Amino acid sequence: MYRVVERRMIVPNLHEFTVEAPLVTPSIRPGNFVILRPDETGERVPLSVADWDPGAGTVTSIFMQVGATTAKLARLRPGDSIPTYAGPLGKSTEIGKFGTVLCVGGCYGIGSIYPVARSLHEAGNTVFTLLEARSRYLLYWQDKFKAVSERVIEVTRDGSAGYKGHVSRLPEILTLEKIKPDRIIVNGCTFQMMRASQVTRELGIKTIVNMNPIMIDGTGMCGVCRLTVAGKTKFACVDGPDFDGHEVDWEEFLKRRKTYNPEEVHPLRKSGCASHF
Amino acid sequence: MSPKPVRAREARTIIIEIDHRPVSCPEGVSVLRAAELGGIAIPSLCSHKDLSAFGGCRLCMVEIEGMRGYPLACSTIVAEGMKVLTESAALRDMRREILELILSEHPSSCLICDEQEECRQSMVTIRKAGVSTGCRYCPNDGQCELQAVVERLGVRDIHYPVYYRGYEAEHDDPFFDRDYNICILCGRCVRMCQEVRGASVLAFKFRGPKTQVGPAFGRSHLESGCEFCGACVSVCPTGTLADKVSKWDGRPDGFKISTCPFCGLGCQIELHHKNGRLSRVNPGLDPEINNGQLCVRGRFCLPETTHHHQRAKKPGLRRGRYFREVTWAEALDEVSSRLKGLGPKDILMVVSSDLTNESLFAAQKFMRTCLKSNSIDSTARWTLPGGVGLWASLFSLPISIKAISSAEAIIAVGLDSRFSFSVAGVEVRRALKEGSTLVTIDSNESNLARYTGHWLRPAPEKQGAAFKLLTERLLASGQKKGSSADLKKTGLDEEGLEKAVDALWPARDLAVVVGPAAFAQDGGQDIARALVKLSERPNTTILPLYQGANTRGALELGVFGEFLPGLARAKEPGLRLADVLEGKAKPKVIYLVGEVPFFKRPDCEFVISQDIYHPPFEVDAFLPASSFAEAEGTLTNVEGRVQELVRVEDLPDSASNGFSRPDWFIFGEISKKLSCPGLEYADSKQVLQEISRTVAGYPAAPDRRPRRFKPAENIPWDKPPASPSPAAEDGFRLVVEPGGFRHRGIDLSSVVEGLSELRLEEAFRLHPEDMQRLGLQNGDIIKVGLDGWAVTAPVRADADCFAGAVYIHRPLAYGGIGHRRGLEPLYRLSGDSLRVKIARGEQPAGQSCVLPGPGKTGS
Repeated sequence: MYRVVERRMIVPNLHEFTVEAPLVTPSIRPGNFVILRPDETGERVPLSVADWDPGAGTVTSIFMQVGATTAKLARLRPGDSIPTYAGPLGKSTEIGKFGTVLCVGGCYGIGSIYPVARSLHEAGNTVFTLLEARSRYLLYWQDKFKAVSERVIEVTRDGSAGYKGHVSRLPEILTLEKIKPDRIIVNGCTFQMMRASQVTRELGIKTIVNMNPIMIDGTGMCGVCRLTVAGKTKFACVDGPDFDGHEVDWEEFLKRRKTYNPEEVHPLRKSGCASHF
Repeated sequence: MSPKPVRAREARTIIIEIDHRPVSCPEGVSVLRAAELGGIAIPSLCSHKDLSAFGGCRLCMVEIEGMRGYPLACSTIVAEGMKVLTESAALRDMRREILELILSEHPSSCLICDEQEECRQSMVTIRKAGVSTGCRYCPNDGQCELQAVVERLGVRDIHYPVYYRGYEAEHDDPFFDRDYNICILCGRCVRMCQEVRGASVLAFKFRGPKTQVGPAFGRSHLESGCEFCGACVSVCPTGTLADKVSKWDGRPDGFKISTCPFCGLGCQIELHHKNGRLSRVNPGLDPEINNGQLCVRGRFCLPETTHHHQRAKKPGLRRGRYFREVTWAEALDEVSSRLKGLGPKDILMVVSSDLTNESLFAAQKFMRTCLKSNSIDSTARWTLPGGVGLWASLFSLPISIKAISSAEAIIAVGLDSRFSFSVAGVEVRRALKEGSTLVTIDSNESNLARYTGHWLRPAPEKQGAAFKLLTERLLASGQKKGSSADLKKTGLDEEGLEKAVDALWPARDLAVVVGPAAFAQDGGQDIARALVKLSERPNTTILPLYQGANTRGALELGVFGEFLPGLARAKEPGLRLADVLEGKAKPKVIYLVGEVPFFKRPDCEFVISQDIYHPPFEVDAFLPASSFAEAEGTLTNVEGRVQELVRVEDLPDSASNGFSRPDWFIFGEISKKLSCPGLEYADSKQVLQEISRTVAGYPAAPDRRPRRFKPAENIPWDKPPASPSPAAEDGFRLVVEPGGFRHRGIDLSSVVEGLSELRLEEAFRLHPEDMQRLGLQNGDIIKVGLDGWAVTAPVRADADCFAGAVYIHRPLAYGGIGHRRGLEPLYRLSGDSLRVKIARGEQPAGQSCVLPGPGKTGS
């Protein structure tokens, strides 16, 4: 059993979730994920790693409540335990000396891009961070990013903080901010990663995305997390989750993610409190 | 305080001018309503046709010639010759400004997002968020009034600072969720709860920017008396209030008007469907019965009842030690071979009074023509004290739900309308608002008792005697009648009774509502008899409420074996359920149609169950019946209306969905195997036509007009039960009340998660003072003993209970509650004058009286 050290709603609907997993901590690298179950009868879900503390043996993730399993996770209190916490899984994000790197985070990806930005900074890159949210009250961890970035740029859809609009304004924002990145890394919702890849293709900047398909075992056995990259089938769990955003077949990816839409709602069709957050 | 509703009086029609067009409207309506009548929609978020004017959102501002400023259309009353302008540049600007202010406190980034269409298209999952942070994360997306107004006014930007309130979303009450971060404080829910429901659970709390809706003093909805009727959810213009069952189904594809299959009121409901599946239920607007209102069962419990994962939709047969799924052909072969050649008393069929008229009629016809037997019975008999004759007389009296709200005086006996028959409770409170007098007779502190100064509280077993005494005095025009001994027996005080009679007898119209709990007690028959007697008083309407959605239909269509359809007497009496329960008869075959009247398999050779769930004991054959969503038919309500049950789902016909069939159809199929003609109907309409040919005065098609029985003088009433021997004075009174909710053979709390969380049926209840005296805490285990045997279960405090009595609910059906098997001896007790001893006890191993989750029905 793995003890829950912290579970709090950090901004509306996004939860910071820290678990004591001393055997997982030593080998974590930026871009890895873990697979966990909320209770003994729960389903397995992958969560990106957002931070870890080797001393305390704890791992932190940011998750969004979007269904039955995350609703169960959102009910956990510090001191509770969960039965499964397997990781680190997946290939880590490539960290090298690239020059100028722009890290883009949105939603839970603001959490998972943080260790990437930190490592790139430590590797001697010039790191800029762009955080996107629908409104200012959905942004978090700005201070952590300021410590590892030259500048933190905010974009909100309602203009309540930073630039108004979306990641699709990226070319314009890069010009205004006078940034010429050698590489862009995006962690966030599928729509954001797809949009970012579309606009950076025209700019000719290599763009890495952290894919988030439906996943079951996370070790390459089941093949549920398959996606097409540069015309070849890849498994996000063992070949990724990082891929070149310009090579991903986004249309197919979006379709595959919708496979279980009706089933996803089914466990929530109950009138009791126990089935809802 | 809301203005008094306008009494039905011919309102004068006046002509006003709106947007340079003449509009005629009744005098006294608001400008907003007048515009609606003229086909002009003025944007508004807080007004509602059933509620008083509030003027909260201020979007409905208009220009009226001769009036200063911009008056609100919702709170300005029309006047002859008024000239109104609903659109102008100034109005448009101000409305946009107001809307932007509303949106600055409503997570609305999706509303003003220029990529919203692409986002919607590519949205990879339904975002079933715990907290709404934008339209794509909101259960109300695509069906939201705020979205519609934003669209209409063309707001594309918010110039004000965005503010998020940061309240914790409220998920800890059953049935509906609340997220006041997206509330626009329109106050519709508050007004609905206060003005229409009369429940006053919701109010505005705190002030200024911290204003919030909710029950006072931080109590939960459950604690503050919420009826979970969902009326607030229905009127919420945003996604703030959302029903748990269907909140992520999205905008429904459409709806069909149907009849609620859960009780005899026969409320009209809108069955909303999505992708060919029942999604949610909203109240029908029918003014005759429920007038846009429902109770918790009708509003929230239908989808889970038909869609629960344990729903049994495949035929099954016992083969040796194993019970296995079989095809319909195999099941019908086996069942018909077992039924062949049986004598009239070799079989007992028990039929639920929740079935449609068509299925009830087909059941008795099947028994009588194919098996030549009158051995057909129903547990509905237990809900009708005094028997068929007495109730046929009651059904020949004027029965009306609607009459309650216009009655000058009301007597309510043994009715708590919080979770059951709450539509009747709403009518009572509507009448009280109009200045009616209410007298309640109830040994429990019911929710209606709180609304009156005339609460007569007899001992639990004396409700019948108290009502009888009250009616005698009323009929004697308020004169004292009956000895003081009679009065003493009821435990009422002379002054209280006298005041109640004084308050009642001058009233012109009198309505009497009696709840099923009152009929189930010792004095139940006294009440039914007194109701017949009371009807001698002019302008008196009654509303006798019983268990079962179609009990009146069951009585009329020959499901009580001694009567044929139309209440003609059968020649040969058949077996009754009571004979089998008491061990007086032992039929070879027992055929349960939607009934589960016992926990254990009855002692017989072959048991057939035909239901929507498996019973909690082993059967030899299971025939899956269609639910209310899958089959059509009619139900007869308490007033005699023959109302339509409308199908919203296709009959399941696949290995994954099952093969359930309507009850009447199953009887037809078996009759074919038995080579017995006359039951092969093409559809339910044909059955109804045959009923109409068989029963005099019965409509040949659904007919929503109330229908009275012809007075049935030739049917004798049951004898009054022997008056109970005087109870010993020591010990606690044991009150075994019918409780919980059933549909067919299943106790609904076993499949509807929210109902189980209401914990209505949890074991023993005692008055808090008794608990304190005995040193008991909620959840302690007690042993309740009687004549050498005792039953052990947890206890909880209930301030509504009569002091000195220990209460327990007797389930109405035993399906799904196998874990309560240990309490069965209590359920079988009759008579309310029993005295019991209470002692601390220990939970016996393997028996749980606290409801487990729906997965553990026990078998």
